Amino acid sequence: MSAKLVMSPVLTLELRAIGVWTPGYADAQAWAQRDACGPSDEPNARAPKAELLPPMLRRRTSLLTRMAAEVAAQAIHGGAFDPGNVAVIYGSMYGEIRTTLDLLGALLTPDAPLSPTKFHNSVHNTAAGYVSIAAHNRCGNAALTAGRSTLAMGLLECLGLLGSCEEPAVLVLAEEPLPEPLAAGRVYEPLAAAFGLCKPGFGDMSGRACRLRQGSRDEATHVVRLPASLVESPCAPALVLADAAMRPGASVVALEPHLPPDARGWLLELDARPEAST
Amino acid sequence: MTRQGPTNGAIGTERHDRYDRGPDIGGGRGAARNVDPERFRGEAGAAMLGARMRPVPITALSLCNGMGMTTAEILEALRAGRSGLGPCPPEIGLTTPATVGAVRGGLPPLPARFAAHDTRLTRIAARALAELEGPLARARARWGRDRVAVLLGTSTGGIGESELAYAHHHQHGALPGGYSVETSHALDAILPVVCGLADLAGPAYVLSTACSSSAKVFAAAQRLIHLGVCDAALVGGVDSLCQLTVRGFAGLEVLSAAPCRPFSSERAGINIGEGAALCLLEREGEGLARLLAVGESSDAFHMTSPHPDGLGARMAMERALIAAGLRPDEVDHINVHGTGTKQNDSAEGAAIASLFGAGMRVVATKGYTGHQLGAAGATEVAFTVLAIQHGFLPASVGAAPVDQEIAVRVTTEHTVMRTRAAISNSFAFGGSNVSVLVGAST
Repeated sequence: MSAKLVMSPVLTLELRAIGVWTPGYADAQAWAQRDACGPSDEPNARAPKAELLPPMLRRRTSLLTRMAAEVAAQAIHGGAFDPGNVAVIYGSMYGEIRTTLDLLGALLTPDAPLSPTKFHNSVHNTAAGYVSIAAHNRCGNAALTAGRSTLAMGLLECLGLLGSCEEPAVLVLAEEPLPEPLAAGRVYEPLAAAFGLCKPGFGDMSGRACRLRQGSRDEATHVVRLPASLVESPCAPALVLADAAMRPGASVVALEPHLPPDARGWLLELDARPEAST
Repeated sequence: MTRQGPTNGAIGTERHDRYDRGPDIGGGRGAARNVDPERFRGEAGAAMLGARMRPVPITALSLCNGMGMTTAEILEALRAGRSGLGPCPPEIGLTTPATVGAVRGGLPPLPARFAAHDTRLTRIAARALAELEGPLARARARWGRDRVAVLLGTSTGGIGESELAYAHHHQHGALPGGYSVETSHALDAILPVVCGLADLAGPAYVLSTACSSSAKVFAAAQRLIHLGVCDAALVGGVDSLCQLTVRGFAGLEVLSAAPCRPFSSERAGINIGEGAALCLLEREGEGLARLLAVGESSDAFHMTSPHPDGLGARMAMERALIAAGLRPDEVDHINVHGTGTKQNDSAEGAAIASLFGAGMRVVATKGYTGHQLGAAGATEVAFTVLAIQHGFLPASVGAAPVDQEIAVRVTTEHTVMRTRAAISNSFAFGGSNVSVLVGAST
């Protein structure tokens, strides 16, 4: 039987599963073993499979939506959640920015009709819409942003959900490369990560007990040197959290590492991975 | 049992592979006068059924839109049945006539410290925020500035600035000085302005789910207060008129050249609007009204078309009732999403009739404001609060003659009526449905 964890009443949650996709790394396992194995050039690592989306839906979607669907499915699968009964929360700073740029280009021609598909694919909740259709999921969902604090605020949003309903939640963070000219020189690779979250003790599986609290980024114990190609991604902190969660030991992760050290930012404390059931 | 290490991102120790077992889709249901939470158990989407939510007082509100620059002007227009719609300005780039709900007063520049974030969007927000100075000062004194959250909805963000910047780049080969995707375009660029002007330091984020964005913020705020991470929240929404949304809806062939007429048999489509609506929610206090609960659902049907029977819309309303512990007959009116397309009005009408029975009183207010997209949800919650607070139902401008095929009672004239509880509906692209249930103060 899995160990039941002792919880403080609020801001406590259980992390059940991790999803990751970034070029070269098709899932969280591949990312966690990057030092030993390096990047892969398998098709799955070159482009996200996003098999959750049926081909008819998938072919209309952006890289952002495919990455989001891919990591959401990894977290749903890994957490043994029912895809129809999980609240999925999507965080992104720039959202469907490449689709938006296409529309900005079309607007330059007076009277040019805008593509209806591109128009509805430009909303921040595009991935939420496609994934809910594909998974027959009638739960509420949300798409949010808090700039570089999106991971922290997304976790708070999920905690709010877990605090008011029984079912699990998945937090997805995803960011496409910023296209020029809007990027004005900002360069980073596509990146998506997802976290399968639930109330302590949900279902048949055990996970990692976590606590969200405020403190200095200097309290973080898990600090990862990210590849230069990902450092500038607004969802880079999600990759650090995924990395911490894939390792067995207890750790503290700074969710808002962009804040100055004397600022009170949000931190996530992860307990050590529970021992296996026997 | 042997130890199982994490596989494919699983962190725990036992894997129960339920992923490939496709969920059942809840079938259609007949009209029910009683809402039974047990009916939802085991049904796809039951996750959003949860704890009974504690009501949260709505202690202040502020509006700015095509109807007026102040809440007082807008309330007066709402009482008088005076629409704020007008012709679409040429900068939007439509060559055919269109009607919009544009903010018509002057919008002064933001204070110099917000220069990088100074956009039409943030100016509209600042205009609405200015009215809340007193209530915000009281909330800061009572709860502390870091115990007041800021949760805002927007669908456009600063896209209007990006349209100008992109055109400038096309012409001159460089972005205009002062434009930055981070501070001009990004959806979260509204946060430093609102948090800064309001002097608040609690959790702050933007929810952007297209046309339900600023209805969702009420749900998120109620949960954060319930969770205890804040004691109060400044919530609301803001959107500004831009080419992308107006021409995008033109591309979907749903724009009406004339003022929109939701729920009328003579409706011809939607108008886009802009504006801001802000509400202050506090854990305790003397409220204009109370936020009772919010119901959310996804249609899981189509990116832009509602489920034809309004299944998701009905689920959202049912979930709000369950979370508040109310029966359908305890709701006195519904501020409908009512965009003014036949498809949307019919689906919503069907959902209301199936849950509340034929003859539920509804008010459609997009004939006053146009569809403010990311600001629509909070604006209509605010209208619902005003209706409850002042004991009237506004006329649904443009609704007469009403569509007789829809089994609801559309209020076409200003009506004096006491409302115990009312729902404000917001539905969006992606099948996102939100029903905000507001009750009278006790």
